[in-house]
Amino acid sequence: MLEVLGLASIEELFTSIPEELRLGRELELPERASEPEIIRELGAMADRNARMDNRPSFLGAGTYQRFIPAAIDALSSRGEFNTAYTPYQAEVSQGTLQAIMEYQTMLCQLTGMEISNASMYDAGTALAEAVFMAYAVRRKGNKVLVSEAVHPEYRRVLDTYLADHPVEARTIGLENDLTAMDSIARTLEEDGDDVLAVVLQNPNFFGLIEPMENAGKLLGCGLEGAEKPPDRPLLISIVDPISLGVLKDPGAYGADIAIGDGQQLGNSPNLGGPTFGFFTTLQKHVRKVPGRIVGETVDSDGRRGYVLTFQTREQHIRRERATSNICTNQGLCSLRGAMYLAFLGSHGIRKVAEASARLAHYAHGVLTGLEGVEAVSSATFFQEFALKLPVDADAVYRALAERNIGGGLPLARFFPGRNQEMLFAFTELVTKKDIDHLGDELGRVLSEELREAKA
Amino acid sequence: MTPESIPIPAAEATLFELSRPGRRGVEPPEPGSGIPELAECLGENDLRREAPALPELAEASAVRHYTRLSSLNMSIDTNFYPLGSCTMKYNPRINEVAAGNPGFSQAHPLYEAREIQGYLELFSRLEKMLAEIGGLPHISLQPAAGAHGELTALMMIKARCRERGELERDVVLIPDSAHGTNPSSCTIAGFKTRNIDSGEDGAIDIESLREALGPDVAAMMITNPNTLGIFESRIGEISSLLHEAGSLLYMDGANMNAILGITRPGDFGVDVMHYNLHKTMSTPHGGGGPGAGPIAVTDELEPYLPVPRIVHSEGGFELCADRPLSIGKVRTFFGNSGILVRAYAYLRAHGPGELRGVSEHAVLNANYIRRRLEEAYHLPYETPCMHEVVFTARNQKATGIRALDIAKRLIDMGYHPPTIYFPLVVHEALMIEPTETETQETLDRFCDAMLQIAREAEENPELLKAAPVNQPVKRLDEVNAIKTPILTCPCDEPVSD
Repeated sequence: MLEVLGLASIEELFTSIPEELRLGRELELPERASEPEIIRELGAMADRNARMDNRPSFLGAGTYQRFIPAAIDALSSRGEFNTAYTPYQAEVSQGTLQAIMEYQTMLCQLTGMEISNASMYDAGTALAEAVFMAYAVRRKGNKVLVSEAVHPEYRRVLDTYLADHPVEARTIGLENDLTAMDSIARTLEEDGDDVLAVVLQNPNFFGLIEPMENAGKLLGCGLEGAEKPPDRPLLISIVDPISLGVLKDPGAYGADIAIGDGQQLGNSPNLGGPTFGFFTTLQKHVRKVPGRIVGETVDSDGRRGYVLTFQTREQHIRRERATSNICTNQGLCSLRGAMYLAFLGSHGIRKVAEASARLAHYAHGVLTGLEGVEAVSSATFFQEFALKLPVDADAVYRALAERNIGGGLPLARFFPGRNQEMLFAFTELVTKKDIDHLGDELGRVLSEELREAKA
Repeated sequence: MTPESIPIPAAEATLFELSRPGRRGVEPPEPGSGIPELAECLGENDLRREAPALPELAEASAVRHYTRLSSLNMSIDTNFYPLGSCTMKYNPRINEVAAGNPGFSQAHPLYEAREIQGYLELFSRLEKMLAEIGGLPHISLQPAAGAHGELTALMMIKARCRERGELERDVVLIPDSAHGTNPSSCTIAGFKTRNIDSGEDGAIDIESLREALGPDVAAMMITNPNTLGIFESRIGEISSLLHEAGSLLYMDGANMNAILGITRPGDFGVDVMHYNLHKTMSTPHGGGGPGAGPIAVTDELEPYLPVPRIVHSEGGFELCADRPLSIGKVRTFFGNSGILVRAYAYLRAHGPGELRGVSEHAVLNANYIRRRLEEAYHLPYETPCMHEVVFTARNQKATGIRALDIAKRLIDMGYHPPTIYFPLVVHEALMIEPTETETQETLDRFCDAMLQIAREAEENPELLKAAPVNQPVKRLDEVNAIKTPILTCPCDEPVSD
């Protein structure tokens, strides 16, 4: 090839790089490893991580271990899906495009919303983009009210994004670990024009079911045929997609934007990534939506086909006036999400949600029966709840780990002062036996810790 | 076989058309007996009235559906994919095997640091490797994609302006050949943008830069090599000009595949850059993602990096979030961790010599294509190219042929088209990036196809206008898609599978 180019050496290809800018030495990197060496080295590192799948695990807080149909790994690892680029060349990307179209449709069925984009990075960035979109839609007000029961990681991402944005996030406190709706009502009365959106999570971070219909009514979301005031603040709802197998959907309580994390739909925990964020809203907002959207159209022979559409919203066309800067998204993870919904169907998703809720309620009975343990909130929960323990929750978490149990989340990690509280999660992958075992071991741990504390 | 004689794959029915009421797919685990019924758990008012109307398919039908859909895609595994600016190199399977280890995939993001020592060690080693490759000492692995890395860096630049009481610096300079994400990220981070023209040679016009510089400029974003595949030879002068004016230099690392082990952004004056691990480090594009866009910065910018930071102490690796100048978190948890594992595996498979070899072959392959096609296709710039080459469709204009027609005809010949109509500064651009993982035979066959298309453009332009002819659909009506938006599958008549 060098001969064809009339070059004596590879070096001559790089003459446009000034001599003084060339590295002139080898990079200081480890020497290359063979495949078996790589497997050994990474395997040794992997062995030093705790896992959810080799012991009963009760940690959730937004990331859950769930049953994943075996077919998903086989299909999503096909090179035709995994090694394709973004489907800009529609004719050679109909597989990816149709899969996204079906994904958008299933997400709308699940959330009760009208349109969906192709995916966001995660729920945290989806929340930030939802607030930006609300600002672009309402064009009035610069305060967004965010419930304290929104996942603290999502909130941190939102705060970073708002640092250089005219919108200011104001926290709405808790009552009984539910969002203080009175406080929202008061703020709307005093400062209504200034509030552009309200952000609630359901079930909330503590696993509790929020009175979303009350929120919808409060914000004039047009429930039960009521008028929608033209200038009302938008309702941004963060939802657990599995919960929507049984719980009321955002469409039913009048949400304007419904977002969340799709990890639970066919994706492993992966230390929190890659997963995907989903973003759904109403058709009338389509030109303000961030990220890619697929639409149906026809080809020159009138046959049905799919394309990326409304691309004039996007950075590669609109540049500094784009609705968002997102380009690469989480395509393969959302494809897994679509496959998950297709394999489970209406019946399966309902069963998963039901099993999780029923097991959690059984566990609530078992664990609150332990001496010195009490529920933190009296509100209805879905698959997750916080308990107040008689001793420090961090110590309990470690003691459970020694007994080969993955404990719940010590809440003080996000809520300073709540040192004795632990958030337990239950999915269809735990059994009644696991829960009884947890009850026994937690009982033992607590009595030992109490004894030590006294000594 | 001629393109016209290749059998056309059949279109696939939608999941909703394949659905039959009551049909069951995969059964999730049963919770067993002795636990409360749903009615005892949740209130009537909490429940949705009807189950979500998801499709109902037998497992085998859904498997066939997705298998058939996959066959409607072109991908690196099936076709040469010389999509400029996207670095569509072969994605080694070893990366997938490594990341699939349950010790990585089954780790919960809220585990304590002591429970994820293996992950933190991998992150820490990957940070060191990326720091060495870019010549910039500090890394954040948190950003989920290239555009996300850009935004993170711009937020840090903004935070630095605030810290120094220089918020009047609210402009970022952007060359006209930049990726669209660059100006878009600026807007989100609260900056205005100012355009810098390219010169006759395709490189940044230094005079245009001098004129644009001023006390209101916070930074400049460059891509080097730039999106024309040309190395900015005057980068030393550019960085000096910026630094003398109190501004910072950002580099979009989309084109790092050209310079691995040859030159380093930190050594030519870059203050902050992002990597696209899904380009340079071979992690798969996944039909649109996930990727990863780590950023690398100088000592001066280090305090602004996202939290948590990984620190090493005697007891092992720890996470430090107590960093008063940090911009905070740009993504939940640690970023796209599974992608970081794949990139680490790639870097372990490439020592210093092999990594430099990647760039040498990427540049050699692009120049080979350039030489073989330069008689037939117009080159807008004489400047030698690096890892990608930009042609235009100017020579084919006489018969009414556009870059789009050439791209679509390539599909008929079994190739994914190059990037077209980008960079915006080149009229009718065809941007070809072969990458280092292609053999000479593949490049030759591709060049033969391109030369045949050039002949067809003269002799039988209708062939190009009608292309593609052997895909499940012909050219699609994008205007109609907006005029009558259909953004969810209509649930038409059921069809049989």
